[in-house]
Amino acid sequence: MTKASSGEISKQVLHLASWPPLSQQWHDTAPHITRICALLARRPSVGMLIPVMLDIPPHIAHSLLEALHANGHIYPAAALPVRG
Amino acid sequence: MEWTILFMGPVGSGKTQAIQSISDIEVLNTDVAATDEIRQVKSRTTVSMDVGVLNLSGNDKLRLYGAPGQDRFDFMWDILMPQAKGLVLMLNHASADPLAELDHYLQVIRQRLPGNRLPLVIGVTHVDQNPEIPLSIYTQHLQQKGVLFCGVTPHVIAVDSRIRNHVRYLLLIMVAQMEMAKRFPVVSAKVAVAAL
Repeated sequence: MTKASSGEISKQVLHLASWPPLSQQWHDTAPHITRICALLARRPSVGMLIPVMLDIPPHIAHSLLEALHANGHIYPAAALPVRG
Repeated sequence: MEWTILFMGPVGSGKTQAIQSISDIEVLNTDVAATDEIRQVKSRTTVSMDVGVLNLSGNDKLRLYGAPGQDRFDFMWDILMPQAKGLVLMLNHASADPLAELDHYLQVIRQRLPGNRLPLVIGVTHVDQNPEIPLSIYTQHLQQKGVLFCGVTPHVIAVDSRIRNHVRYLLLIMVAQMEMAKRFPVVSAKVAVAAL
């Protein structure tokens, strides 16, 4: 797995490493978490596009991606090429 | 919208209990007193089907069907499986050979629904009764055999069928899998090449 700082998560292609176990930590956000994991299980996706693809408010999606990454459930595989 | 989710699995794996734990209506079940070798496992067994309903937001709902676990009632599988939009396979981690039961049900599904086009989620019960065997054996087994449903390896989670939140999480995973399978279908290499 590649380590990424919090800001970099949104610019990278994210893969699912494992589904989070059911715990109090995820309880309230389980509907969003399961949708994000189900997406990444079938299609690794760029972090910043996930809220658009799943119609989740970006600030919520971003904090969930941070938490999933911090707990090792998702990992970034490649940085987006910088254009311009 | 209504979607039908079918709970399958061997006798004593917690299908009826799971539906009872999560259903918003009183579950219609067809349990009768067990009179054969099943009596060694539990006193009552499903002979036809269980029916429950889970109301979602708006007017959406999940219709939850539980199939009988005994092979001699497999005619019910033929009736129930074509109606399902998603499959939940319940396995008893404390049974003598849960991997053999997994293989058996994979074959049952393959025979009746060729192509593995429905999402499958595997709920493993009685995990606390067999703690020396890790839950990862199921995923490893599925990966070794290359088992895919809707393009992904079925997700395996530990479930206590008696706990509503556990069953809720399992169904959230199922609904998410159903949504993603519909919105982002896996295109086979053959179809992709033909489209070029």
